[in-house]
Amino acid sequence: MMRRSFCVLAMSAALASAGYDALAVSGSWLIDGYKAVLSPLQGRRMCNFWPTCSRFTREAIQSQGLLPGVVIGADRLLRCNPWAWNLLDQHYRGISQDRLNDPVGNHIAWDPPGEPAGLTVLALQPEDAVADRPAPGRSAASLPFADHLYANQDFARAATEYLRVYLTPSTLPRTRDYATLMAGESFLRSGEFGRARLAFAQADRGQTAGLALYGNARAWFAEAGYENARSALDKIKNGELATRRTALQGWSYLKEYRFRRAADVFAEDDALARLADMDPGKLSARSRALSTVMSAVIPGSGQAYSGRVGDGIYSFLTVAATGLAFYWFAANHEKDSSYVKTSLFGVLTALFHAGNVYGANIAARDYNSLQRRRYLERAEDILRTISLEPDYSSVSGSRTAPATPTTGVQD
Amino acid sequence: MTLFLLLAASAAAQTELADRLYAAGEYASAATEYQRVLFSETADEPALVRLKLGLSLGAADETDRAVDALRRAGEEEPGVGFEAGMAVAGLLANDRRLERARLELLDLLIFTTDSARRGEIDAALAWIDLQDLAVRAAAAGYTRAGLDDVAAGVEKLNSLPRRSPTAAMLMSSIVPGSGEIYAGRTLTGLLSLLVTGSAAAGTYWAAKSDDWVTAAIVFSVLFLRFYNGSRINATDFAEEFNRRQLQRGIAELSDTRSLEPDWFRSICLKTGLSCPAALGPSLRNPGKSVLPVRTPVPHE
Repeated sequence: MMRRSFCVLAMSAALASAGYDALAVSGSWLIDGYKAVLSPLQGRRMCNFWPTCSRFTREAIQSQGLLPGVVIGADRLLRCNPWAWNLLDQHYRGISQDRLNDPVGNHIAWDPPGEPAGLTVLALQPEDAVADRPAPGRSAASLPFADHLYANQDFARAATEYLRVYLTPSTLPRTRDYATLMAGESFLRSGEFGRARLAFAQADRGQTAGLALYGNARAWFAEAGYENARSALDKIKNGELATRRTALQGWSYLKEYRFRRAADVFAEDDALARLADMDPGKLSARSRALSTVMSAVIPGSGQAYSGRVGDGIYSFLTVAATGLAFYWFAANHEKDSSYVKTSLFGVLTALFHAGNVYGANIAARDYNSLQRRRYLERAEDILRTISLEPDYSSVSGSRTAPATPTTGVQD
Repeated sequence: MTLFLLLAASAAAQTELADRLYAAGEYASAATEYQRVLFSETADEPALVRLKLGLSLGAADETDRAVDALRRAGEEEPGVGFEAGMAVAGLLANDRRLERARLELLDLLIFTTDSARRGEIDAALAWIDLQDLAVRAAAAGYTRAGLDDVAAGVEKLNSLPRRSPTAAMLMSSIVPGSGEIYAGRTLTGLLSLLVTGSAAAGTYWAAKSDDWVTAAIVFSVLFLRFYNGSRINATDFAEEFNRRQLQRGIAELSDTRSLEPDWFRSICLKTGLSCPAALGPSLRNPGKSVLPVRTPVPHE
């Protein structure tokens, strides 16, 4: 008896799972069919987003399974409304195929999207490079030529020229140190951060040790290796590069959204008081749970609470309209074929409502990350007014007249 | 390497080294060496070296830097302005920045008095017009350039069959799908007729049996959507039909005679350097039309 009921149970479970899979496959087919036949008949520009709603739902079903996929797709349909473009640069970042970029990965509630790593490269400004007017008869394979290339923003070539100076045996040690550091700056500017670190490592001794470590830290920082950047900064002797060092340290915490720690670091230096005064406690936040519950009770209210009034109104109208149709057909049951309509609109209402509840949760999450991003942007605006680029005047001699290199290829 | 550096002792030898690097196809390195020569300010003809620098940068795919170098060459020595200007326009055109290429050519036209050179510029401008499918402007340009046979061929493109987008839209407003069929998209037109017709029939039947809720839903959600879609598609397809006609006509014209300007002929003659394949549009895309290809609009 036990065995038989177990068999029946197992078989029905297998059947259910097979049916579920079949549903998922046929759902994908349905979407494919819609994309091939019906969608082109609606004219261009039906959807605000890329990937388009049908593509998006298909991808969601494929990556998350049928039921979660369909709910995520329903949320997308509710967000694809006339007000969607108002949220560009807030909830939707970037444009692809002339539409709002909105990949499935940004809408998985249990798998938060990675924050985009903002590449921030700090390197010597080209206009600060020691480039004076070329004089007739100057040796061509020389430091001034490298500086000239750097000033002209030809960083890849400048790096090669600085290395040439560095490798020339008769170069004076002081000039060599400067050339090494500038090779690092050139690699930083041309986006070759690993090579920049190698170049800076060559200067990590004597007088230039602090500047070399600072370069190393900036190379890690540019690659979002904030932990490594901080450990390089920690090795700089106390008192050296005071404000630059503290600012970069704080900035690396900001990039990791550790705002309180960053504020503590900024407080160490009086020059960074404005950054220390930014109170991370004032960051406004929305509760994901509350937003979800609100939308479960009144469709769209969670979206409105999370700063998306347009989505909220559209969600409310859609759920209300499908719900009313469902109610109407259920109440006028006795008429012919109403069963089909009742169940169709019942399913539609349930799906849109589920999508609306799910979307309210994501909306609160995105609201919070938007607030964090804005806080970071405000802090970075202040940081950019502080000169964090290195100052090599102590290494290269005077700023306007660089140490005359003595290279082996002089004529 | 040391040998090379020793060789580079004088400006002439350095230029020689750069020329050899260029001839060997090492365009990026050649560009470095030309810059070295210019930086030392020992070259006899700096403008010529700058032209070579521009050419090598262009061949190394550093278009913006190449454009800067060539412009500067033209500013420093107006004698090479034509060579530099045509090369700049060519680099920009190869980079599909046709509007900037056009501006460059118009600028060049102001300062050019030689009639043969003016003709060359006019022909290049007409070619850009042709890329924009501006047939009348292109024909006028070829006439100015003295290429009457080409102008006549381009003029003929105007008599190709056309479809009026407005007429197509009106047709689809009356009978959904008919405008699409008129614009040459029979299958889509028939499908549109079927789907929109079904939605209309559904609305009618529901209304007839006093099921007004169903009628309203079918009408607003299905009928309006496909009816409007048909009108939009009819307009789009007619425009696409006209564009295709012109593109095909231009392709046929290009088969009988190469219309693409030889942007780099004069600079290569002047500098004595060979023009690498990467610089010539016809060599870069052998047998391929450089006409703008409209990317299909993805559907929902």
